[in-house]
Amino acid sequence: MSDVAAWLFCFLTPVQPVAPLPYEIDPVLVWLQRLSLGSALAGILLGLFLVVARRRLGETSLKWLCMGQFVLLPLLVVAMGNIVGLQQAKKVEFCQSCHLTMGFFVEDMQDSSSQTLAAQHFRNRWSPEDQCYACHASYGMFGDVRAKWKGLQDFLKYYAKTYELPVQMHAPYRNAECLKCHERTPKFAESEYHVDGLAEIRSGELGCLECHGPAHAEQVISENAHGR
Amino acid sequence: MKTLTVGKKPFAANPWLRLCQGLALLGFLFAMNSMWHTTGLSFTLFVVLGMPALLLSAALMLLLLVDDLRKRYSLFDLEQYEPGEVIFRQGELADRVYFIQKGDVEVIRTAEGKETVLARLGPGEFFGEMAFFVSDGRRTASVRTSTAVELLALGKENFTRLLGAVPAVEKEFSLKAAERIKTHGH
Repeated sequence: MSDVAAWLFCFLTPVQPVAPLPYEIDPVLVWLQRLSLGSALAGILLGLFLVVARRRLGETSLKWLCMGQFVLLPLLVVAMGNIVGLQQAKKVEFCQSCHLTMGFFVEDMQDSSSQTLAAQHFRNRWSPEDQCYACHASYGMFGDVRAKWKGLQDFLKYYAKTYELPVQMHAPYRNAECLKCHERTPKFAESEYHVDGLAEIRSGELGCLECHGPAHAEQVISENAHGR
Repeated sequence: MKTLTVGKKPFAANPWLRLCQGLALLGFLFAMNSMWHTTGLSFTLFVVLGMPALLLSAALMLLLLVDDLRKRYSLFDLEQYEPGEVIFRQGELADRVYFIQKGDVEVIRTAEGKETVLARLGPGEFFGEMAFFVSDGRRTASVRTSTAVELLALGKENFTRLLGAVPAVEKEFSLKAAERIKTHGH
């Protein structure tokens, strides 16, 4: 029952682990969001108006209104909805809205006393925004699509309750996610381990997390962790 | 005379319009849900259900509009008649030419109170053109259906334009009219 309620009223679900600072808000995204919301609302209102008044309208007026309501507004909403949605999909609260078991990781990341890599990156603002995405989304050319497809499969598994515990990563964490920011920085070059073992680090034979981990706090996963 | 003319129904009466409205409403609701608060669930619902519904509604509406335009500006009207109905009577002012799609008709001339069947016409044949070639614009005979009939009717103005635009068609009609005059008189 709670799943049904969550499904129907998911837009009321409070997921706000990190309040953005004013300069972190992208005004273009905000306006796109307002515009797409306005377009969807206009589409609904126009639709209701057509239900009531379509037989009283002239042929030409009706067709122009239909063209607007069923062709232009939907295309606008689809285009802007995707742009806004894919941008919002990079935010921590978006990730956590599906990765329910990782709420613990988010809490740890925001814990000022935690010494995990995620917490250090968050605290020192090495990853100032979209922290999940910054370290977990080196998807490449078709990676975004693959990641969303995989996400959709996980979504279906979750609601069909066909997932298996413990939940595991699809693939081992790649060093490339770290190297994309750290390689060629002065601090990285200072370490002889990095210089001598660069080939192994690049190939993944020597994992970054083997020396610098853990990335997140250890978590005991239980069946209860999967409820909303 | 019962004549059904297809293709001139008001756009508002098109039953597919309701499906469009339903799809668009569904899509807009999912879009609003996703835009209002983007979570994994709301965005997935928008992508999986809302977006296809909106795109389907747009595609369907375009098809409806194109189909409506095609019907509204088509040269021909589709007319359906029951068996035994009179399509037009001898002496009436002619306003259109008919092309038979389905069924059979009888061409009847009445002289001194006596009916004579001049010809029986079937699918692929046409009638009603004689009035535009040989007389003062009045029908030279009556036409009555023998079976259930479906006709394509071309208005006088469009028929005249067609003859002017395509000389081969004018020749074809003139020859047929001449042949009919030769066989049945004026």
